[in-house]
Amino acid sequence: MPPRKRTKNSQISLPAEESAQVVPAATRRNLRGRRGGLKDMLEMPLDVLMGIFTFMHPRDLLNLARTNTAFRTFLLERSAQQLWKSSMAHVGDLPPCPTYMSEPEYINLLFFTHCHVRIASWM
Amino acid sequence: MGDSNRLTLVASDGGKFVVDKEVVQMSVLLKNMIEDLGETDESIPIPNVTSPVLTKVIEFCENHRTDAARTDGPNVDGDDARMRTAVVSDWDRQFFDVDQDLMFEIIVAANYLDIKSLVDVGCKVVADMIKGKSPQEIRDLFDIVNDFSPEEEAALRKENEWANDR
Repeated sequence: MPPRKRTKNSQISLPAEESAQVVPAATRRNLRGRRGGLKDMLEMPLDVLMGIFTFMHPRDLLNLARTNTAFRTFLLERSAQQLWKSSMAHVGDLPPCPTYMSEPEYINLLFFTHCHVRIASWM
Repeated sequence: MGDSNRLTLVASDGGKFVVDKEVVQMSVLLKNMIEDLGETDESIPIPNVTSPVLTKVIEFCENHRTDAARTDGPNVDGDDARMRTAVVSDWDRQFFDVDQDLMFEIIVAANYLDIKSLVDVGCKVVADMIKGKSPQEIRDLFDIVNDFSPEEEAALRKENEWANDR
């Protein structure tokens, strides 16, 4: 595709073509073939999303919250607290979350093996 | 004169499906619609669901018709109860062994049609796909782009407060 002469006018008059050339998302999707559903998951109906989260182990919820900002924002809203509580209830035999910790922080402490306490002061 | 035990469903793309009434009624949405319509030979349009998706939904309902007398009765299951009761059979796993777009479309359609058993099985299958995977493995699996800045990524490990306290 020949490069377009870029003047201010042509950029304004050809926004569609300009943007059409910068769509790595579509290409990546084609390359990956059968993948690509869950990244649009946050656009799914909320009850479906909550249905999926409901079946997840809290450790997996935390890993999902570490994949990108959209999941992180959704899962670490305080309004998601009930979701964490019910996910933890499924695990069974977990000591209750201390009041001075958030559920995600507590799950991090329980299920992730790296050092959690003041890493900076060790170094 | 149509067979009063069978109904015709019409997908959004015009595809027609003749299905046993008993199977159709596994959808709470359609069950209520049928009750409102009374005896009728008219076909039922499903405007939100395409033929490939409806094919799968019907396949699931036909396979589960015998075990699904539970769509009746009070729907008082909490999420806790739901997690414990959702059993995914080998057949269900095979059923959901399709490309991810179709898999999610089936779950969304089941939610729209209000077929609880299919929604639950679908959600459980997705949850199982995520199970035990690292963030990077989850990204690879679902083609999620890591859009964290290096600073944000470093902060991920702390998890020490709600992102948005309100």
